[in-house]
Amino acid sequence: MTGREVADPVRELMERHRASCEQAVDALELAAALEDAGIGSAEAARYRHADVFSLAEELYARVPRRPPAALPSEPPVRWRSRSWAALRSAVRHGLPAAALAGGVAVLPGARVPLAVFCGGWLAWAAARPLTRPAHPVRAAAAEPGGTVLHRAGYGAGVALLVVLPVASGGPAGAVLGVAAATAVGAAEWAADWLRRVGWGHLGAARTMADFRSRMRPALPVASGLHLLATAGLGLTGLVLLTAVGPRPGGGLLYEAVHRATGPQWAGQAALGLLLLPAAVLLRCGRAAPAAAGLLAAGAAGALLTAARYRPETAQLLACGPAAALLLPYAWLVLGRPGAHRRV
Amino acid sequence: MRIALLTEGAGSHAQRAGSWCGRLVEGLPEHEFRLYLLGGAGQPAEGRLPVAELPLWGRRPKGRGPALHRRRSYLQAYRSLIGSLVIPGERESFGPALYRLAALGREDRALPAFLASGPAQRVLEQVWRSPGAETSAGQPQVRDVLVAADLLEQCLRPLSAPWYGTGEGGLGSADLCHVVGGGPAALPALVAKQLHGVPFVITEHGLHLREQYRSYRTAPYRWPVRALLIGFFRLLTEETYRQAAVLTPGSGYDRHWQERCGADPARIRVVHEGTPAVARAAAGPEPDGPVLVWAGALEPGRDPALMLHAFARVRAELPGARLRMYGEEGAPGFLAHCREIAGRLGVDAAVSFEGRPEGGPAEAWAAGSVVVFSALAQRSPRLLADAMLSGRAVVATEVGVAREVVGPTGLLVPPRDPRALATACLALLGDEERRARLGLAGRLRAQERFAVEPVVTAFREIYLELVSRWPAFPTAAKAAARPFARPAEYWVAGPAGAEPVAEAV
Repeated sequence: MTGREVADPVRELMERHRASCEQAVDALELAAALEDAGIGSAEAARYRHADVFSLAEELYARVPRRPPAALPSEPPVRWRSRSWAALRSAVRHGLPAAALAGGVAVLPGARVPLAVFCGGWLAWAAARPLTRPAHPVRAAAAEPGGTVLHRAGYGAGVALLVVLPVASGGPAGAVLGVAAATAVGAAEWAADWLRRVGWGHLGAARTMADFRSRMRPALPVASGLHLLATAGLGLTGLVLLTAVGPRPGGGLLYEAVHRATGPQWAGQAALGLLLLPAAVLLRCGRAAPAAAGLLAAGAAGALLTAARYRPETAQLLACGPAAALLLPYAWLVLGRPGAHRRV
Repeated sequence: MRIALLTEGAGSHAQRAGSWCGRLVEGLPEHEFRLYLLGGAGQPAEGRLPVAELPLWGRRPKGRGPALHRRRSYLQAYRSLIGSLVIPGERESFGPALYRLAALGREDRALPAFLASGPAQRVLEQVWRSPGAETSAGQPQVRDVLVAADLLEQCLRPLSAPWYGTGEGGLGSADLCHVVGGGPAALPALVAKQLHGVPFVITEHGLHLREQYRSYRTAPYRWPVRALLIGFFRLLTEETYRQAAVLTPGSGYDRHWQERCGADPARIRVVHEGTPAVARAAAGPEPDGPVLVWAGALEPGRDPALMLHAFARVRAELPGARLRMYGEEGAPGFLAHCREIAGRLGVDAAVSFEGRPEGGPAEAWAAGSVVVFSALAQRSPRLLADAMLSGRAVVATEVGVAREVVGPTGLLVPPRDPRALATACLALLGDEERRARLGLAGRLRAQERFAVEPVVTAFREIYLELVSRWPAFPTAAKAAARPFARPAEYWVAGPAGAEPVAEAV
């Protein structure tokens, strides 16, 4: 020790423990930190304090609190890998529907067993558990994607809704049904995008009201994207159908659009607008309404078809009201910060 | 007496005969113990004690939120609880708000669902962002509100445990509660005291609050969340200390902390944590040549680097000296770091990293002639006492409990001072007679302080003293709490669950 006493011995200590002092929530935390650094009452006496607690109090009073550096944000998931996952999902859903459509075209007599088989395949593909990375906002909330029962209901609902137009809607209906099944991949992409947007706003929004207003346009935008994808896929399918079949005349695109009637396009839009909120709700911890909505729409569609309604009318009548209920509900749920936690 | 043991941890551990609770129960067969466990993993209890478990962490228990007409009272209680945590002037409302929430939750069991609900989150945000709140290092954001609401829900789960009431297995039918370890484990005892007038003892080995301070410092939460949760633990600890009939910390060092948190010094009795190792024989003859033994987890807090630097100085004086370092890696990559320091100091040939001793710590102590502790902080007396029981001389840095445990039977040096540590080691290595004398004195001192029997005796007396001071039937005789209203034998003989019909005042 040098002969000359430093005028303010605490200053040096303050510099050494500046980070602890700035981040401490109270003087006792600082005392615990000082003790962990090997400063006991013997050393506190060197700073003219009776014990480490009063030393900590002086340090706490002299160093102002400072907002900590932002926590390192998690690395963003690459756009490409997300799209690959959506593409795989589209193939998984599209394949059984396409198989059913092909089977019905080739073997019109085996319609029922084919529908049961392909419907089961599709339900199994749709009911796969969701996988997602871990997140700091861990919670004791319900599991995303729900229980096995919820997922089974969701899968069965998707299968019912897709199998009905494919099996009974004629060539154009079948093509549109396959397109709707393939568009489930797009719905999952949009649902994941919504989740990501939600997580981003969770970190950025200051209050819950602020968060709600930031999330307000998200679902309409996602719905528009999903509708575009569904329509695009349906149109592509119809173009292919028109190109391989006999053509009475007129432009290919014109013919393709007019292969499907207005009610068919409307039913297709209603189906798309039902599948998207269901996928979103499944990921936001509201699996039961999602599964219930899909199952109810599917059952209603089956009943209406059995009651000799035209398939596209049945689809529109079944999916329209369900979508009209699920979409506003999903919109409300997305505005709640609690729905965006990851488990 | 019917004693409710409240503790946090796995059921199999608390029931094992070797654990602290197990030894206490075994030593006091005249009392009827019942174990209330928080955070049990739901394993079937195989011990002899009746056990009630409540999962403390993980997923929220299923259940509905409160009915609409009751939600207002819930919100009011929650608002004043949050206010007491974040507004410096409203600290006093913590206890009343806590008991109010407990009472509401007891009536309709809707507390966990309420705490996780949207209205509760809105109240939390509203109070937290109100003008008087303490947010000097940052305002809470939406994510902070979610995280804090979840953590609070988990911490408050004991309030909705199905343990209250005077029926069979209820805390109200116990004569006293014994809380082992603080924090959420003390919540049922607080409610039982408020509701049924059951007094409680709190035993802490390593203070819960201090451990929270240490773990939250490195937790991945932002400052506002840390401040809120630490505020909760601090107010809970203060309320616990205020309400506890007797506090039994494991060391004078912990006692100092408890007094700092508002415990009444008159109600604190230090009861050292007994260890069965006192029955162990002393270590055999010393190894050939001067050997230092260091033990503890390899982590910065244990400061093995100081040991290595001191050893380099020892070796400069005493070229034949060797150092054996026992203990597993406590921080990733720290073993390599220590090896690198040893290599840089040129002593790597004489230093051996032995890992965890196979035959228990006794094997480690027997391998050297002097045991050295170089830690920056020594919060628990366990390892020090174990080393002293081997009969080897001890050199320790003077931090935490070291002075009261080692006392005059070992050498104490200031922390972070390799020269002082080396001098102390050299002094002992060069003087066989002093080494033997200090080692024997240390063994005797540790045997006296850390024996199991005194712990059992201490609690036998504390229990009896407590019930003798406590009014016999607080529910029946509200007017005057007369000491010794009942003889102590009454409590021993009383049949379980029998509430007396009339109190003869």
